[in-house]
Amino acid sequence: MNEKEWTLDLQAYVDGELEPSRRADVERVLAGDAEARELVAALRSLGDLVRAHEPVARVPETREFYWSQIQRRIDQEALRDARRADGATRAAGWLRWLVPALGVAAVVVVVSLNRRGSTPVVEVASASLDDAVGMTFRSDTDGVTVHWLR
Amino acid sequence: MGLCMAAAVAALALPIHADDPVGKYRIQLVWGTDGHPSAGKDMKPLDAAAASRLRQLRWTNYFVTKTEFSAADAKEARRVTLSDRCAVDLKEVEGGKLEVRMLSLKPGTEPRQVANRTIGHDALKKGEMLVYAGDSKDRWDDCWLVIVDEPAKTASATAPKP
Repeated sequence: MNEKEWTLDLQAYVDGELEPSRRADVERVLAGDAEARELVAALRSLGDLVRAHEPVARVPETREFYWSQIQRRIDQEALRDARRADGATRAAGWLRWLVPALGVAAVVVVVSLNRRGSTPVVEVASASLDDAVGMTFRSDTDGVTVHWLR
Repeated sequence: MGLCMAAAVAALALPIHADDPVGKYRIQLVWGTDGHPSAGKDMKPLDAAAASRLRQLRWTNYFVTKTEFSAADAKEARRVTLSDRCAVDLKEVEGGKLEVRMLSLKPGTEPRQVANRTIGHDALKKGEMLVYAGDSKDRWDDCWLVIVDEPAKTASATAPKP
């Protein structure tokens, strides 16, 4: 190994970038090489010095960025409020679907209860988009098909 | 000869009225209610046979507010106006079927189709009724119906077997 490679290895050792086996080799050499130990100490203090005195680069905050932060906070607050409101109205939302569903069920029950005898009735839900037929039901026995318009 | 042709064309162009039930199909506008017509309103109850076949519906009384008879042909729909709010177009279509289009009428606007269904001639000959119905906008809890059938068969309606 030439001197340059050895120096790079020491630098990697100081930076903690060596593999365990190579690190063990370097430590074995360092134990018997005072000059190498000094170099390692110099590299460490140089690193500490650079890290301690590295100037902090501050990018000036643009007007747009400043206002975008405010806007983002407003949006987050609005979202939080909406979630709170959504939670509060979830029960009402269920009711909004439940009531019509119960209504349809009630219609089916009423229609069924109004049957006299054992007339077989086939109820066919028809929600075609192209017309106003909300429900179709048919009685084979009576020979009637009723298209109920919304 | 020319006069006869003109008369024939005129007869085809116009729906035929209840007093002259030559048309093949009967179209009835019916009011379904649990009540009774106001005094002075001349409304005929729907015939018992047809009313009994509406037993799936919950109303107890059905009154005929208008009856029309009309033929239909394959080239052009025949319009039958039942009230100032509704009409039906009848047309013979492929497959031995009658197309019945329900139209909503509003003054100053084109008629708007709200439903379109077909019914087979075989079914009509057996006494089948095609019914469009909806909630009455005039009276709470009442309904209206438009019943299309072939009267000769319906009068002696023997309900088709399931």
